[in-house]
Amino acid sequence: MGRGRNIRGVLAFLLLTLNFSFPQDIEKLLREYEQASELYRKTRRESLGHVIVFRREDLERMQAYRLGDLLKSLRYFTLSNNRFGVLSLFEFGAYSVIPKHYRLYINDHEVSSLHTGSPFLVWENFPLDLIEHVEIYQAPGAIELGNEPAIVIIKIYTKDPRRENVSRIRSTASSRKGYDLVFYRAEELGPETSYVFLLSAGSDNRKDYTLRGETLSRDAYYRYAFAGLYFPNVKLELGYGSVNRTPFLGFATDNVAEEGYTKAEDLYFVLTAYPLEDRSLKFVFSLDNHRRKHYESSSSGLFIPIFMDPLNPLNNPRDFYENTFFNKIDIYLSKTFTRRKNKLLTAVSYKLYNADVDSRYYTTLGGTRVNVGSTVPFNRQEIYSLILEDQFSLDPRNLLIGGVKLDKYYRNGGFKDFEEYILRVGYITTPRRGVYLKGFLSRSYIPPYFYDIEISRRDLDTIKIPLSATAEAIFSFGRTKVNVGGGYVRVKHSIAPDSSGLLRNLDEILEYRPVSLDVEHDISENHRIQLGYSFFVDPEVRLSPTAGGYLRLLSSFRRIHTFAELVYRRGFEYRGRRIEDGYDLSAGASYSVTDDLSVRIKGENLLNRAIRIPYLALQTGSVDAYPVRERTLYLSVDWVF
Amino acid sequence: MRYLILLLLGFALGFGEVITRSFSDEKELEVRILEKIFSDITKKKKVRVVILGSRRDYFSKNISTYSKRLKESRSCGKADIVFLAGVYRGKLPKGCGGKILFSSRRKDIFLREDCVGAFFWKKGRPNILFIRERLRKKKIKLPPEYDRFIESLGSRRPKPGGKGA
Repeated sequence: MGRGRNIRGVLAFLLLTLNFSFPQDIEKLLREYEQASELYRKTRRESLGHVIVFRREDLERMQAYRLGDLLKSLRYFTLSNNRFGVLSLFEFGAYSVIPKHYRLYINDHEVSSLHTGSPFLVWENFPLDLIEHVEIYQAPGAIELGNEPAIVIIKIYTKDPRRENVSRIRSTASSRKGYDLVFYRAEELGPETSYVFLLSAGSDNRKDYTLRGETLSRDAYYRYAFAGLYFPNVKLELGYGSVNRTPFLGFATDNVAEEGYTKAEDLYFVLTAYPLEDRSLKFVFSLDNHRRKHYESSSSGLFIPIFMDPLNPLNNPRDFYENTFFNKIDIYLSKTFTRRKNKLLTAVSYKLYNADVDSRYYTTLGGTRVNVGSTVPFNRQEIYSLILEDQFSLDPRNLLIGGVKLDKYYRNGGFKDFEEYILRVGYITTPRRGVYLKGFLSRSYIPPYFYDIEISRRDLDTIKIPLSATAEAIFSFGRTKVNVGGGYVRVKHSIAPDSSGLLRNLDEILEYRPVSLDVEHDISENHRIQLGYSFFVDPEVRLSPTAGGYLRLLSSFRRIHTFAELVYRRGFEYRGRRIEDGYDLSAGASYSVTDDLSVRIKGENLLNRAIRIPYLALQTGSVDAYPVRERTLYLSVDWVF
Repeated sequence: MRYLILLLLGFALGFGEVITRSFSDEKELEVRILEKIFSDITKKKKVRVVILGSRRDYFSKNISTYSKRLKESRSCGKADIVFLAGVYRGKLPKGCGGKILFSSRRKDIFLREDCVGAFFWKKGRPNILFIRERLRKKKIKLPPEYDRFIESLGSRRPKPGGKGA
């Protein structure tokens, strides 16, 4: 008995000794340091909403080269293409031509289109090679960034050059004869100075279809450049994106734009400065220039609502051309006051938008050329914003967030000036270890964009979101993390086409009741499984999938990394056409030949059963449906030097 | 019962350490890595370090905050190791020649013949690299846990005209 007690005593002593004096293994220390240093820990903003983070490791394993690779599994949304072949997102049940309530940021700069509000026309194929991580915030009413009001904010962060010190080349070829060439250099230049530089060119070739004897194509040729110069308290960045697209369906009434193109370019410069040593004062100044040329032609005629003549079809357009320019100046200044329990953000921002139509005309089916220029005299908009957000820590486990954003819009051309506001209250708590609860209540809005007003030839009211209540609970048990989320969102004055196709504000109130469940389990250090399912309860609109889910497996075996992802979207009916359930299976493997050279293969829509997106042919009333991508294989070589 | 409490305490402390560690500041972990490397190089519990370079202030502050085993030394005379923190151009100060040289930049391995190793960032990851021949020359024997961080310089010789130590 005595000996047993002694052994127990020795064991207890050893355990204590081990805890206090056993030196930690250098590899383990290095791994912990790497995890603690991950940039997303510094950039993620809990106050912005419910966040999904794709870390660098995830992006690499998933071979995510463009935004669409990440967005296709996004809960509550279906990845789609609009009539021009441009990436778009439908909220479950909804069908919108131009997605205007998604904001895309590259570091501190919002790159959403100055014309339509959508970021995807130019930036859809921006290569993620230079991206350290992606944060996707879901929740209306985020105000901290001084952004245009949004439902989803996508923030992509470039790699920190001080941590890279390499050059990298990736070349990818696809089974559809597409290619991607990416080069970047990121390194520390000297004491406290670093830079990144990226050049990329590619062709996103997709399957051509034959419809009514004509070829339907939605290929895109794109080029991107990005340069960043970083000092301890100042950042300078320059971004350029250019895309040349074939027209896909365009405005054609028979769903075949026989000829045409969209050429768009974005160029921006952004300066971010932290004048105070504690970085509590932030100043962001940016200049944006956007240019777009669009031409299309269809012998059946084009359906552009404002140019339609209900009395004489020969006056309807057959060809359409426009050459437009837009620019934006954005100034943002914030000061954060941090006390022991309180963090108060105060900010002001100013935005100036200008639109200029160089040329816009159409040729009628009767052969007459009609110069239209600007369809409305509105081409200049200024927005002044005042932002206040307070984060109050009740105790280390409970955080209260309250914020308000006041926006004042000044518009020319006789269009009325208006004021709008966003109110937001949030609560984050960790009642016990492994349990994390987060909820937001907000009042918000979405403004109409130049494009909405131009194609309606009338003023539109803001879309009101009088109430958005969202919540999520995260439970962690060992290696498993469960995330349950849901909410209630009420929308008034939605913007939708009327019977003549012109946009107008709807009188009825739309209600959304999203629910989601996500589970992540680390089977071991090298194997992870993720799955999720989300749906809208009793959706009022059912023009696109109303539910969907995903299953993802990420694995590493020594030098081989693999992933497989199945994205499900529920089938639906669109104007009498049944769209079957969609199953988009992607899988890939990468093999590291050496530490600096890897070869990768990836397949997308391998089952050829991804959800189809329906398009209405106005001339016949028939519906044509195509997946975003047909089955495609990609082979990549990635070299770091 | 006493032992049971001790055992539970042991688990609790072990567990507590894990929690603290997982939330540790990256600066603290950075210093702990340097602390371990320098102790293992010198085989000393207390190591005197001379810090030179553009990031001297940063490392000096962090080492004094987070380390009890590293002691910053102003002169090389009594120092055990010279740590090049960030960019350091030119010759080393008097008395530093012949000391063990360690850097926070990979470049220094190729620029300075006396540099035995470096702790640096590359491809978004922290790395440690030691040069076998230089460790041998300085008669440094590292524990086996460092084996995967030790490489031969092989054909990669310091560039002609490089700033030697």
